[in-house]
Amino acid sequence: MSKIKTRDLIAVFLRSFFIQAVWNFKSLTAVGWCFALIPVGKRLFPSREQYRAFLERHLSFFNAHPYFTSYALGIAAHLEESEMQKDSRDPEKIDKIKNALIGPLGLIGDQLFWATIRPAAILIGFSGLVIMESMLYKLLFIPLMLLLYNIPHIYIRWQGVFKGYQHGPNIIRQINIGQFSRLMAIYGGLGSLALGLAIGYVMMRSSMNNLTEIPILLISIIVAYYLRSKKKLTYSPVFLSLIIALVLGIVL
Amino acid sequence: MIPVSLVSAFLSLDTAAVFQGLIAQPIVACTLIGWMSNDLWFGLQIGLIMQLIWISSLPIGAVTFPDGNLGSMIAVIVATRIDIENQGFEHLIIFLAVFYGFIMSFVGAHVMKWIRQFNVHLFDYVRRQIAGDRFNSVSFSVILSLSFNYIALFMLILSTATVGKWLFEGIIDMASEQWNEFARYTEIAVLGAGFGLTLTLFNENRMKFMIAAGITISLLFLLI
Repeated sequence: MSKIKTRDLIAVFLRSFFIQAVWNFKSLTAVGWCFALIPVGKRLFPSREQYRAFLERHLSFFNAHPYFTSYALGIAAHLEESEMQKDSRDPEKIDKIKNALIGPLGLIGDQLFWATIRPAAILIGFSGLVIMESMLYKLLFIPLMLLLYNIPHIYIRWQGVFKGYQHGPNIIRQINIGQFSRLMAIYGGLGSLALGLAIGYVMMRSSMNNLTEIPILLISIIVAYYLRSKKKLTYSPVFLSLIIALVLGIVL
Repeated sequence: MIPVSLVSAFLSLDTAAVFQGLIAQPIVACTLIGWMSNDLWFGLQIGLIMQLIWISSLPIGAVTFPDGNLGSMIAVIVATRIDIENQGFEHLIIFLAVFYGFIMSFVGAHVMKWIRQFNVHLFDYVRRQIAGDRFNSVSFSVILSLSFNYIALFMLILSTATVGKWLFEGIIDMASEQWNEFARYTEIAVLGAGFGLTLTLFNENRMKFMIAAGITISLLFLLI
């Protein structure tokens, strides 16, 4: 009986970068999911019937955070292999577990990456680009930002496939947002410090250039903060800031 | 315009379709586009102005969000094509670039919806093909979707950048230098809006303390 090999899991990891390639309103990331699991299916199911059933099984609806989907891919590989070794197979079990993973993996990924690591990495890059005087030092912050983001990004994708395969559905008990609290605290702290540094630098530089810029900066900050807190889209705060800039440019 | 549009369309795929490693973010993409357009500094400047506007638009769940990365790239392609040093309309160009980038982010969101609608047909196609034992259709659909996505983005970038350049030049030709003066606060106002939007991401007291510490360090450093 075939067993999944390390190179199959490496192929799943590489294919996981394409998980959202065929994102659609009907099955969301199902095609990308199915594409990522092809090496597993080819290894485990030599007959056409079994392989067809495998692909059809994995074309069902799926959507979670794209990086944390790797855990679900690893778990699916584990389940496919373990179900194959049983006498009475239950393919529906895989579907049920897959559906149960959507919520938790989406939640953790959104909080960890979209709401913490992504803004923090961008803000560190941004503050470096704003504050540094020399163009060379400025530009060094772009690769730094990409590294700060992509090291955890690629680690989670890799770890997800391998740990998910190794532990199966049990891994879900080990993954919770609390596990990443230290990482979130570090990135959140660095990101907020970088934001503060950038605001302070822009305020100071503006006061040196033209004192009128300080109230304009403060008004724009307050208006955008207020509108965003009232759940307004990005459009209204920025259009309003453009109007403020133009009106004050004409008046002053 | 074609080489820079080809590169921009490639970078745009990073926003949602593949990899998602931040290379489509304005500070990366606009700097690269500026360098390709022989105006690294101006590309970086517009990238910085546009970056914070979009940082708080989180691509959570299945929501279609304004495509700020695409809008910023189109804005910087247009802005770096205008000969600002000779014309002295830098503030007005930044104003127009932000405005145009905004409109393009809205257009980009709709193009993304359209591509995702196309992908529904691809999904149905894959299901039919698998039922008929044509298993390569899964990989084929991924290649086809990415190609379609890339071509659609390339055509959008090229056409809107061409129209934008024509519009910008038309407006600058008509505008007097006084209009450039009127637009002189655009950069600081948009940066301020970006800061305000970004501040909403940091609600914990510990983070507010870090922001305050950052501002204080910056002010003290510059004062000294």
